[in-house]
Amino acid sequence: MSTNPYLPKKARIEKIIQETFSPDLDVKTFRLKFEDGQLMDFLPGQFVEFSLPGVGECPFGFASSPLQKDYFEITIKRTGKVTERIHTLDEGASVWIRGPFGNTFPLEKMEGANLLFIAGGLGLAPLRPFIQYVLDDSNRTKYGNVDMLLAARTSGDHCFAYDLPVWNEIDRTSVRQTIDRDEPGWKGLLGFPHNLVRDMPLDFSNLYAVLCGPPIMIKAVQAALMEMGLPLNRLYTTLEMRMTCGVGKCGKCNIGHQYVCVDGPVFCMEELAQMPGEY
Amino acid sequence: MAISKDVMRGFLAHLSAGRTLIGPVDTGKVIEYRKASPNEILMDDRVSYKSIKEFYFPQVERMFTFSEGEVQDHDNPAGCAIFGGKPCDLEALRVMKAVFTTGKFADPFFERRFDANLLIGVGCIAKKPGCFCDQVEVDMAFSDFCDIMLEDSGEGYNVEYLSEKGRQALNEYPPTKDVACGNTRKADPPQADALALSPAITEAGFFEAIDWAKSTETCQGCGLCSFICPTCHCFDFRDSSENGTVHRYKCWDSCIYPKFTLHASGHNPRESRAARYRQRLLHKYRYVPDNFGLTACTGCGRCVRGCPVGMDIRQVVKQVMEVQP
Repeated sequence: MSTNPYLPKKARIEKIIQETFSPDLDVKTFRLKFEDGQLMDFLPGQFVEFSLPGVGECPFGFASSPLQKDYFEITIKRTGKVTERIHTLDEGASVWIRGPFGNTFPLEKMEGANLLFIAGGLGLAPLRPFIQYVLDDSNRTKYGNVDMLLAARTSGDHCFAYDLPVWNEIDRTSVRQTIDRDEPGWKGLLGFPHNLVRDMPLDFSNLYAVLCGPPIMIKAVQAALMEMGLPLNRLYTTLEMRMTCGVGKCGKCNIGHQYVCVDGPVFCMEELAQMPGEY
Repeated sequence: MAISKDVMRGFLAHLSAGRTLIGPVDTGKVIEYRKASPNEILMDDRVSYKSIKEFYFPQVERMFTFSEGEVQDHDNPAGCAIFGGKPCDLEALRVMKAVFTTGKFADPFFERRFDANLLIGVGCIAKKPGCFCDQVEVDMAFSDFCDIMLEDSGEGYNVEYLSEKGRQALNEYPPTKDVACGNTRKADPPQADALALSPAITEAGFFEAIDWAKSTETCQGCGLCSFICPTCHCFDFRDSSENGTVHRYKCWDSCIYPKFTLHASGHNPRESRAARYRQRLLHKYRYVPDNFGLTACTGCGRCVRGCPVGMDIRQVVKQVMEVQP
């Protein structure tokens, strides 16, 4: 008899990190560990189902490095019924987790290439495991230049602000931050990524771009990159869907015959372009 | 082996000693499958309002319980003996088994019930209004997706077993112990007026194939079709709290409902009723065929008979089929 993929395991909140500081956008990172000591073995791109008994269950992408075996992190925006309650929890609280689920970014296929990560707001969260994997000492030489263009509405909305200076110091790695409108003391860029990407010194001959953010940002950046000469098969993104089961059974997250929970959430834009636009 | 219906009632009485017996019963309002005594069970050619799906995939099924900081799994369900599944329902169960038990993960709740139940199929004698099994390659008189198959001659049954479970059950009852294996029968060839979508048209192409809003404008979005459909298998999880313990349930859901795909952000990939109807139709006629090689419509006709506004899926499929690749 198969194991029950719907049955969650108890995990403990080890640490809570407040990521954003604007009044209408509340994002926190929850550092978790299974109570029975089991390690979470996952790859960049995958996700978990996060439960609070009596409240409900929601899918969230991993936000921490897969090489960090002591714990895993999930970054959550306060948005609906379940996330409201998750945000009221304190360090030490118990939650219920099942996973990992879903496919992964093509880590091996991208070896040897230059990488461009473009994220809008919380869109950096599902890319962070990939970025940290690539930037880790054990992997850094396998990849070329790593350039990041990270957008947020205001300076207080940039997630993982504590990572960015560290990443920027790593060999052949650059981090550019942008906000929508100027603020006193802001030293980064201003404006939207689809405009700013045109000014980046990128080598398109061997480049993969990985995008995550609001759909409008993804579409605009995709158009800009294609115009600049990047073919669709060099562009990747990761999708969000309502996913009840996470294992391809409940019927909620399909786009055509593909299920975002098992065939995704990572998709190559070339593949996505062939699929019905129902996402 | 030909047997009388009285012998079949005797067999059911024998089975009911060890298992819960389920069969079609006339409640005075509808015909439905329920726990029944051998004498209550209908052995005529009428069809039920709902299918046998709930004995494999209950409308509401408790999966596990959170209590005092721990989670408790529940015991395996006891098997039922289900009498009278029609070929359309047996073929629908084949679709459901493919969805729930293939791939990287299996649904253990379906799997447990599938393994525990004994299924006795009964062929139809005549098509009923709304039935169209012949247009989706289902033989109204026979399906091998069961443990024991009965072909109905009106007076009696021709009995065959199709699984080891079926053989053993028949063997334990002296009047049926010599029943033969029936798994050699071939399916009838497809009909000329088959309902099937061309693989030459892309999924995205079907989105543009017809004016979906116009073709589905009478649909009220009630979702009844999903609930009485033998192949519809979408579900949601719901928690219910009782005195500090929380039970998590797996419940039928429907792609016809707007909240089915609604994100917490307010974004909805299928905002219009037409988009949701299109999903239901293409899921049955294109996506499940792509994924499992089976059509997820077995022509049972329940949605055609049951729709409160007379939507007929056959008409919409035909419109889509008229589009040339």
